[in-house]
Amino acid sequence: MKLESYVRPAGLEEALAVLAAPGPKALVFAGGTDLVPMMRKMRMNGTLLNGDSPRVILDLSKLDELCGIRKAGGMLEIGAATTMGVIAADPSVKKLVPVLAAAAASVGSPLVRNRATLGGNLVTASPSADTAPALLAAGAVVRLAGAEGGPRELPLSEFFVAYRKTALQPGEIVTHVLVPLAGRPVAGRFEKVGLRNADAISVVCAACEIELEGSTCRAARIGLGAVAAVPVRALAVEAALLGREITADVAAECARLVHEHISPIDDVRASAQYRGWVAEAVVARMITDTAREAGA
Amino acid sequence: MGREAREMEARELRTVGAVTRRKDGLAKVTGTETYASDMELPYMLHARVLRSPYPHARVVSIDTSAAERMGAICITPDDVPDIRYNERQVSVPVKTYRDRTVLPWVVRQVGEGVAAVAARTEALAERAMRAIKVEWEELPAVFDAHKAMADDAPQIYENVLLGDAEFPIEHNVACFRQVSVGDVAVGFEEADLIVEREYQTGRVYHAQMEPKAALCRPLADGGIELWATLQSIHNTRQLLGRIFDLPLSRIRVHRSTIGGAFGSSIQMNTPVAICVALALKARKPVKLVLTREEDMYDHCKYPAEISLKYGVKRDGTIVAGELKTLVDIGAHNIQAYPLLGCMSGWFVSLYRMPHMNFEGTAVYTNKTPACAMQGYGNPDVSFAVESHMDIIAEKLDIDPIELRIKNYVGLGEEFWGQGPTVRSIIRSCGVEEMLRKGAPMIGWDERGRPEDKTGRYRRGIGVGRTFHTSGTGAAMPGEVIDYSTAMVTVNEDGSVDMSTALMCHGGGTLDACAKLVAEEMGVSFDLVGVSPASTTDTGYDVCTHATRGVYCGGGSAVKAAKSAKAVLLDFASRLIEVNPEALQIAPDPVTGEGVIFLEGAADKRITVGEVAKTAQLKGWGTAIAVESHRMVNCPPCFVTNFVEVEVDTWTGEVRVPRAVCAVDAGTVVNPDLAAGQLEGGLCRGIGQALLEDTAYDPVTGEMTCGGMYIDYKLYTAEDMAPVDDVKVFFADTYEPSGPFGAKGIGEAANNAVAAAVMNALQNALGIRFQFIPITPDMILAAIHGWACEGVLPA
Repeated sequence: MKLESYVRPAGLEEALAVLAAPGPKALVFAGGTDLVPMMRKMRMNGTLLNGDSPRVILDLSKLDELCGIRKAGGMLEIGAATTMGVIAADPSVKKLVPVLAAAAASVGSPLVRNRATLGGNLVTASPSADTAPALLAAGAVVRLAGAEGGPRELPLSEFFVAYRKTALQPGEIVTHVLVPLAGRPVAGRFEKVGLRNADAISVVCAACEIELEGSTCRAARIGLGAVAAVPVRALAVEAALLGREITADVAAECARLVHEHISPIDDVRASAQYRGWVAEAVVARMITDTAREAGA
Repeated sequence: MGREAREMEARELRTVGAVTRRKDGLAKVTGTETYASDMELPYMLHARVLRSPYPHARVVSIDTSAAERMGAICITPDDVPDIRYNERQVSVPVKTYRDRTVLPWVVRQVGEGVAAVAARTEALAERAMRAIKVEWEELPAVFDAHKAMADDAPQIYENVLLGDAEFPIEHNVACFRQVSVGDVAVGFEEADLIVEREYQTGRVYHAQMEPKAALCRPLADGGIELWATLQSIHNTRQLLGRIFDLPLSRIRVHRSTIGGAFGSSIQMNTPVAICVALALKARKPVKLVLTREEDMYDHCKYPAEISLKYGVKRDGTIVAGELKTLVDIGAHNIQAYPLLGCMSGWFVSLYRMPHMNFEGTAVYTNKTPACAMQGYGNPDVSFAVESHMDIIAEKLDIDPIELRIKNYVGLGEEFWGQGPTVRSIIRSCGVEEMLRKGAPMIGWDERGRPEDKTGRYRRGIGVGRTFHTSGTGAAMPGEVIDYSTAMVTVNEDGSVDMSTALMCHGGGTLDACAKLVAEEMGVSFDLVGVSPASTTDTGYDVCTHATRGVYCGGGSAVKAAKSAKAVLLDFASRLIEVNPEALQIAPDPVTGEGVIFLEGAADKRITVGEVAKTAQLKGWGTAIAVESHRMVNCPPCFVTNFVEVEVDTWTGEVRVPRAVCAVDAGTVVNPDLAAGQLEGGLCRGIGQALLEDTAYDPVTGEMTCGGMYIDYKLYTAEDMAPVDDVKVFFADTYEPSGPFGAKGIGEAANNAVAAAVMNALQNALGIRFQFIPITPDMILAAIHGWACEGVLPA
């Protein structure tokens, strides 16, 4: 890559100004755990030789405004540049949004988790991003900022537009991820099937949060990854669970509806057939285990 | 010495068999060990290689002018000697196929280098490499061994050299080998039961920790000095002498510490010759370090398709066996001919067969070239044969362990340690001991039948047994070269230096040799130093491969120690006036220093240091000896693995919650390191059974993992069974031909694991998997009866 400059802005304002500047588009960089392998892959197959590759790298990883976790306005506010390692170990995340802590802890290896950021995991918009289903289950909202106009907020379910495409407008970045605190803690689980335990990309990942009254489901949110072009909510499964007493049989019956929302593909890690089967099995198991752990 | 006397000796060992701290351990764990890639020399340039994006193409032209304007030194196929060579020099020349040059005009795989640059910084080298313009003429490529043999397949080579003679290549067949004993047709006639199956193993990447590196310093006299990732400094020197037309006395190849090999540096790796060519042109030191992606496109294990047929009597006696294999060797023939010979040898040496036929075909394709990897065809043959043993046992309703004990090749029988030309008689054998002792440890009799297992999680227990050779020595010279040289020097303070061209791949080979020398010399292990080594200060050693380090390398070290000791005792006899034959040496329990003494005579006592120092002062000379030594045997180190698996029938995921690993390595030199080898081999074997393979995109010829670990997964510590649930034990044996009774261990550790895992899966699910790696995808397909390649119902 013909890099002409590397910019580490002093503040968010400067970062947004760099992005809005005329000329070659800057490439946003935080942990680099997706970007660097991508650059190396392009180097291998020669695509970086094309002249239109980005010339400016904008490093957001040291922006204080984008790092850290705090409670504000009834929300748990997580800076987009907060690393997976920090999120996985954070006491408030572990207590209030355990599905996110579990998802963050399952990303890559310790080395990757010390660099990879939550914002990066979402902006890359990989269908297999582990934190996406957890945040979908937690009903998260993303806050976006650009040089013009004020920041805007968007439910995460509207953020993923198409395969590796997000609702970010040119010049915009994700600054924070917000999880509503009302009703927390809530029963939930994160599940991941990969090719091995350590440092593996998900073949299927899933998360759920279920509000229970006794053993009856009062509300449910289920997120799924690596089974469609984008991370998806399993709305039909959620609807079917409402008002039901959760047993293994009910969970298995409702989980069958997962196929309405998924469109898995064959890739280097697994076949579409396998992903479909396992998505259903994982959702059934996840619902059953969540209810059991909640004492239902 | 008779067997009993030798066994007595084994029980009295002081150093061999003790757990000792590794001499290189501290440097490695503190990160201060120096590898070739860490080295820097004054005026050193950094190199990068321009690699082919096409699987098969002709280079029409190369324009390096832009790179040269940037100040880079460039080489193209025009700048390298027009010498065809084989990077591996372990076989005799007439059995060596030579098909490559330092940089080729025709590339035969994605990632093959065609030009290289050297510049002051790695970044500048990278930019200069990208500034080179290559005009390519794409040629049709083939990625499947069966398709490569078809009449209309693209021809990857027209000719190669076999020795120095032109050898035409037809239908892309690199070589073919048939080996027969008796008459299989007669044998199968006599059989009550014939079982025939197909098996397949993966194209596994070695995944050694250190990517290949080379640093070459050109010398003023036209010679060169080299530090590189190697398993044989002497073969590398000889090959560089041949390619660059230099006398061997002007080539100095240093032994560098290497970060593992798994066999991937038996040959002189491709960056070495490129680095040397660049350094000779630049007249400055040049360093070339491969990226992981480049390394993954540089070498892989030989995969095998195996068609196996056994004929047995009703009582389980094997009467005939036939194994036919097709090996997809990729773009270069590094050592396919000896591989096929070895595969025939592994087949012959597993179970007795009066009638046997082996046919092996090695085929070129436009993929990463395959080379030896831990086991060299043995994990593949053993996977097929050990799966087959379970199938036969089930059909005959015989316990699988009893079937194995009935038929295994053991004590007093012939073992083919490196194909049909390297044979020896088995003189130590712990096969039955390991099977009988291991079975209750894993709970063999309680493993149950698959038809009785229900529920989501199903467990199963399987066994696999095999061996590896200890080196490639034999009574007569064969196709394979095998000897080692060692030098032992008694220093003036009583310490000892051991010098050898052997390598350590991480298993502790040099430590083991130092221990053997300490044992022979009668000094403590701490007082034996391992000298740095290079080609100019050591005698020839073929290569540290074939599990020969301890047995062959150690054998030569002990022989040198004996000779140095004889000189030392001769000096001592002059000083204390005792016949040297009557003297013994033992370490002082406090200082570790060797004490020379006459048993029963308190006044006839002198330390090794006193003798060496006196000999120096009086001008008698140094107690020093050099010995070149060929072992005349290649004893098998037998191995047995019991594995328990747990299958999640919802997701197809497989865990290995428990395992028992046993080896018959003769006298165990260091129990902790031996156990480590077995545990490492178990981990690697499970990976090969469940995870490891490289697939290719049939359009681009690129690996689907792109040469990156993101999508090439090995089994890790997080996947392994808890350490307390992996039991290791050693058979109680003594190899009469080995140094203090020792045999090899390294490759054996991996060889039977995949078979044990597949046999355990059969016991858990009642499904026989014959293609590895078997993925969760394939397991679910088998459970549910979905169509899936490589899955056959039991």
